[in-house]
Amino acid sequence: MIRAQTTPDARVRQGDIIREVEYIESVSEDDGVLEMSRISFPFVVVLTQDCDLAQDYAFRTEARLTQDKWLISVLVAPLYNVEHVFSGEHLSDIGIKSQSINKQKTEGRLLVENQNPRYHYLEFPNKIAIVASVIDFKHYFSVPLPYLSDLKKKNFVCTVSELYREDISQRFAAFLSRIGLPAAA
Amino acid sequence: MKVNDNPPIDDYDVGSSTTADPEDTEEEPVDELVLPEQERYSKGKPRRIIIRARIIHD
Repeated sequence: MIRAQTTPDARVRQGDIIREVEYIESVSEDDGVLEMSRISFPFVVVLTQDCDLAQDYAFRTEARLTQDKWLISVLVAPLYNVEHVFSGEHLSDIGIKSQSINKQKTEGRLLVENQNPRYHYLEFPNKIAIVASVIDFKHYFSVPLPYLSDLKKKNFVCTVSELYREDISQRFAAFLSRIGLPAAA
Repeated sequence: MKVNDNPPIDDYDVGSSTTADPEDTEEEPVDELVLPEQERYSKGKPRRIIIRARIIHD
């Protein structure tokens, strides 16, 4: 089980968990009609380095000569209910069927023990009303910082404490930097 | 209470304007009528929202 703080900081922090975060997947215009498609994620965790977020906040709130440290966007990754991930149905409402994972077998045990590089399993303390969840590093996306900062004021859930946050960050970096080798002939 | 199933949020009866028979409501478990907001969200899956709007030129 992880530790987490439920008191929000003024700025966006690495490890923040924020609910109902929207991702714009397409915007199109046809014959004067604008269509925008968004995906609303129940929970996301902030992955951007905390020092970058701290510098951004300092440069935005203090008198500085430049906007050199302003960020354009923040990296986040969605959290999915682990039971939905086991069944492969966590994205069923947006028309995506995933491979199921048998929680009784080795593949399920590896996920819960954080030995599958793609996933990061989290159990929350009772004070935080989120079921056991999985971060899917393959589904990371970016959101504009001003949007997330504003959304945090009403949709903040908790901030993962530093040790567990670093674990997430280190595993995400390892996942992103993996080297794809050609399959054996 | 943490719940792992995934009924739509709208499935929860968070109150009704209908006057119920007192005998029917006596045994109603009040705790199940209203769930904290975060618990309701914890059941959800990502969903798609599509907005269409006609562009009006001034």
